Amino acid sequence: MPKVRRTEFAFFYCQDGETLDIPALLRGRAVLEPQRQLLGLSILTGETHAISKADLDVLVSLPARDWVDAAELDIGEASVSTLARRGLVVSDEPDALLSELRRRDEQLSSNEWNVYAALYHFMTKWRDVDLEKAVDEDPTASGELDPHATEEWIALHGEPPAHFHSAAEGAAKVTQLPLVTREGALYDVLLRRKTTRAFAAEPATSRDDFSVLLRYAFGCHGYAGLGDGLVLLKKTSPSGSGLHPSEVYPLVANVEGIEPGLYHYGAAGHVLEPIELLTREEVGELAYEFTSGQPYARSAHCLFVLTARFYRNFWKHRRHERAYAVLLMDVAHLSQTFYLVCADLGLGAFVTAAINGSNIEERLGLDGVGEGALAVCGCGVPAGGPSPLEPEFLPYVPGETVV
Amino acid sequence: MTQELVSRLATDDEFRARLARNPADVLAEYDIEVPPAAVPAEVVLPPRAQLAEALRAVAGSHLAPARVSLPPRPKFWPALRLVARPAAR
Repeated sequence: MPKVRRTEFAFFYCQDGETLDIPALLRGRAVLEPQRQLLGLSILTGETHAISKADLDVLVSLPARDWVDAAELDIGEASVSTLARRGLVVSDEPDALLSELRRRDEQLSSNEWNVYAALYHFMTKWRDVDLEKAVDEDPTASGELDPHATEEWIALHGEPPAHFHSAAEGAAKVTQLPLVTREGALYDVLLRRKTTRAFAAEPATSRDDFSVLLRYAFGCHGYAGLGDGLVLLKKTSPSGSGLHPSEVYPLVANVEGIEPGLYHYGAAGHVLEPIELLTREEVGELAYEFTSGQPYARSAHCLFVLTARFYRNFWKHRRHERAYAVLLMDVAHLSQTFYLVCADLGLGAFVTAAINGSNIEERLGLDGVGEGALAVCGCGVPAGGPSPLEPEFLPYVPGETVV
Repeated sequence: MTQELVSRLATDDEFRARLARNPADVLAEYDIEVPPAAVPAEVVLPPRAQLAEALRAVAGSHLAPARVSLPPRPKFWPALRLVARPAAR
């Protein structure tokens, strides 16, 4: 008989919801009925399963750090096997799936993942999501900004929260600040920063611009040795504890003099490390897949997959409750710097967190536990003229403009 | 599980045919046990549009499985309209 233990990376939840009346379903009617359901959430699989009270009793009775003989449990071998295959129990069996789940359990532990961070990260990771094909999308959607859609949304959910917020309502006096205007490259770039979702097929992004973008958005510009092999890096964006665990994987489609394909950016030598050379069409399809079916990604000249080497941060902040938030902030900082450099170069830029993390990790050969995808940036020469996918922003001057 | 089942029934004709042919086995794949008496001699499934409506209702649950192919999201949302449909594919 196999030996088993409970994984520490599982949560249990009682959910009130609605479920389909199955006998009615089989008779041609989609009838919803209230349901209270006990759920087991496995971080090892990223899946949620309905479990019974008997299952929960067994799981609670199992130790997480010591192995016990499955024969000693009174729920039967088949039930233990089901719990193991659902990633709620770890088994020492050599079966391929169970071995993989055991490896993930050990990896999560040895990479010092905080259990709440792991719950959020792994239960919200997407695989094979195609937003364009979602059946709950309005089938008449044109993709254009549509005031009628806003009207319908407000009719369903009420007015949106105010676009500006004041904490001084009712207060007698506010302090008026001087409206100082600054000029210069930095301020100009800050004001030109915008999201672009339409890219020209020609001209290609120049090799120099591409290199500048990598160097100034993601490259290394300084270091500090703290002894015993610990080196902190200085980049153009901040990073928690100066650890810079973010990695960048360019997916090149249309950059002058660079073969289309998937690369890793080696910041140490400012080099592209090829992972997979592809045709431009294949890159377009991969861009679409990586961004969960966002069509404009196909026309971007290059995408940049941002990942985190989790243990680079968790090595210091071991199982820390806030460490994962810092990793998200790190890639957010990088994306803003990316936007600013793109604005300076005259390139359009976008960033998205609506990504198929699992698909990306498989393609990059990442295990998802030691290193995983968090966001995707993209850029290219903007398409000429206004795009129906981009709102037109009007100038705003505090104290003068009325919205 | 229900959400994933409904999602497939709303989108996958081959899956609908398989469920109609062999309801007990297919439902068991989704941890759903149906007493034999509850299975009619001839299975008739609701129209896909009706299931899409039901999907929107069950997708309101905040514990929707992460791997489900249809993430809960607003039907109408201008920012998401930025995910454009291309003119031709």
